Amino acid sequence: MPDEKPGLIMCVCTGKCPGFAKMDIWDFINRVRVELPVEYGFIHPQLCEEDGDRFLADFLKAHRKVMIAACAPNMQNKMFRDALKAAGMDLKTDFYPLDIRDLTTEEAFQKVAAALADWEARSDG
Amino acid sequence: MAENTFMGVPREKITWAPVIDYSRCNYCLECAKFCPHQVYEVREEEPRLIVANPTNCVVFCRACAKTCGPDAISFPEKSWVLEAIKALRQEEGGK
Ligand code: SF4
Ligand code: SF4
Ligand code: SF4
Repeated sequence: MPDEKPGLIMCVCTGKCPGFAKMDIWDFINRVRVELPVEYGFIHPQLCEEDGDRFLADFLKAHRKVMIAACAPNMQNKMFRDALKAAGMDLKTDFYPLDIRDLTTEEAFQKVAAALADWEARSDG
Repeated sequence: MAENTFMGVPREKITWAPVIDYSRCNYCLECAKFCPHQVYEVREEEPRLIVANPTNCVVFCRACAKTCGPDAISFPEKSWVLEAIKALRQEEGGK
């Protein structure tokens, strides 16, 4: 489906993590889900924990492209590769990992907006 | 939001933090580069890497261990830590 918008999951490292200290995570996710071209956005507490694995296994069944706004992309690729593959999704085209740690709310919002535009352009081209 | 509790227990009472096996570590520093929480400290002298701020570590996170090629990072047993958290919460008054 060419015009299907991705879902966005923000992962907040339990919400107790200093990596998100400069950001109002609630302002961030509310702006993303209301203002940006995503189907929806929500916060998961700790995607790389066991319940995160279970959640992803279930969630990815919908086969919606997903952007995960969290920690380092190379790490996300390692952590989520198996779950994406198990769901029959393509790591390169269906998944966009983004590092939003140590940013302010505005910086993180702009980074997601730019990444969504970049992703859209890539899938068009 | 309480900043220094996890599941109702003061963070400093929870013994979740990475442990470095120095017989395996090759000081590639991938773990320290990945973790944004200043858990690790890189130093001039040996050992060049230490777990300087264990209570900064996000409880049940193991992400840095996944960056470690030689598998030099381990964590306490999760089920054991979880039991300890429950026991501590009782002591804290069952919040
Ligand atoms: S996926 Fe990344 S941001 Fe989320 S809990 Fe794990 S290390 Fe933290
Ligand atoms: S990633 Fe592993 S080998 Fe590299 S510095 Fe950290 S503990 Fe040592
Ligand atoms: S387990 Fe997570 S929070 Fe703890 S030191 Fe490693 S990356 Fe940092």
